Amino acid sequence: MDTDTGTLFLALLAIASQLTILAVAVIAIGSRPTLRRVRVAVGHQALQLAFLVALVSTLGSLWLSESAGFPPCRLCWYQRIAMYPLSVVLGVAALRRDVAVRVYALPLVLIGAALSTWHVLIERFPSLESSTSCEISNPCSIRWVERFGYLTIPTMALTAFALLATLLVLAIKEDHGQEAPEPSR
Amino acid sequence: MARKRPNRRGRAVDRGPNLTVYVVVAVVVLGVVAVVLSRGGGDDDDGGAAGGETRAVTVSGADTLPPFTDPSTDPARGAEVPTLTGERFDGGAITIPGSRPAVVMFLAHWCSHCQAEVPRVAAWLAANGPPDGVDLFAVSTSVNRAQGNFPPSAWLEREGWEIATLVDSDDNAAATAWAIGGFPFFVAVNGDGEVVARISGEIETSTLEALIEAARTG
Repeated sequence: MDTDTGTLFLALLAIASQLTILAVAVIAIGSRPTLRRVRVAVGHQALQLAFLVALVSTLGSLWLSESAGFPPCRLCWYQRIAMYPLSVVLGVAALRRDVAVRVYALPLVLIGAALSTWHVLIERFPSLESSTSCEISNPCSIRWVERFGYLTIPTMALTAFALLATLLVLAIKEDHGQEAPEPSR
Repeated sequence: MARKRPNRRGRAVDRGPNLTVYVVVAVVVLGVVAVVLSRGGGDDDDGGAAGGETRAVTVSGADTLPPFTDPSTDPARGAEVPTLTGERFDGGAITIPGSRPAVVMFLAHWCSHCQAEVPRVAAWLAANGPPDGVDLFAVSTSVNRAQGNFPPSAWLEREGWEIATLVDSDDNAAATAWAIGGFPFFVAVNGDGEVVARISGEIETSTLEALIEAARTG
């Protein structure tokens, strides 16, 4: 996959994720009953979906640095520290259907989201990182990728962390689902 | 694709559609869309990472300058600068420094501080004209098409940049030889080709005037 196609693919995934987060937020604000129905429909599979998000984010991050040739800056590494373990922890939790993983995963997600937010700000306002000059070697203010006018690598990372937080909040225990009617005889 | 699975009380639970499968399918579809859209964009892979915005640079004369640390204790002060010979964006020949004192600015197109500095210097030059007895040069370096504000030639033209500009090579030979320590980077050189001062970072026009004076007085 060439760089152009790969970054476009990641950008499209980010947009789909943002629309999902927006939809859940609107439902959460507008209609509690609808939110309950969404939780029942999605909650049992939320850990699997969260694992997929963390896995795709991890693989995408590795592809950007190892294949596309965009060297990770200091803040990129900090975000990787938050994201990479999630792909393992959430994978195990999805297999065990262990919703209690939220206690361990959400702090990592929130730390990662905070780092991504700071990175996005530095991209927009480089003076936050250094007062008067740009570093020679890979400053965090470099925008290696910019798709659709706003989707940079840390913006995509922030989206992934936000989607992970959404899914972890939606996750419910196995026996909290809507009970199906008994099949008619 | 609704799935039913007994819960702990042994009753069937409606777990809804298998969203994971749908999500995986959606990811694959987005991948196909990305491939199709990218192919529609055409092949613009000419010029490598620098997108044709670099030129060969010959470094001759003195050794590479010592690394920049602090302006007040700069070990390069008094050292002779290597001579840089290459091309401007329009293909014309350029040699830095010339036979006169000079102030040389190293610029990176993606650097926000350079983007702020260039119009400031351009406006100062338009208002004051070229300084007496001192040459002003610039070096466009660290070019990468993947980064913002590319290409540098269009950026400088857009800003009305009148200062003679050397186009650095793919491996940034000019910036390496002068051991720059950040962007933008200023070097004042006296008439003997020796470093008088080096400054890293954005400067005000008053500091630029001081650098010009320092180069003139040596």
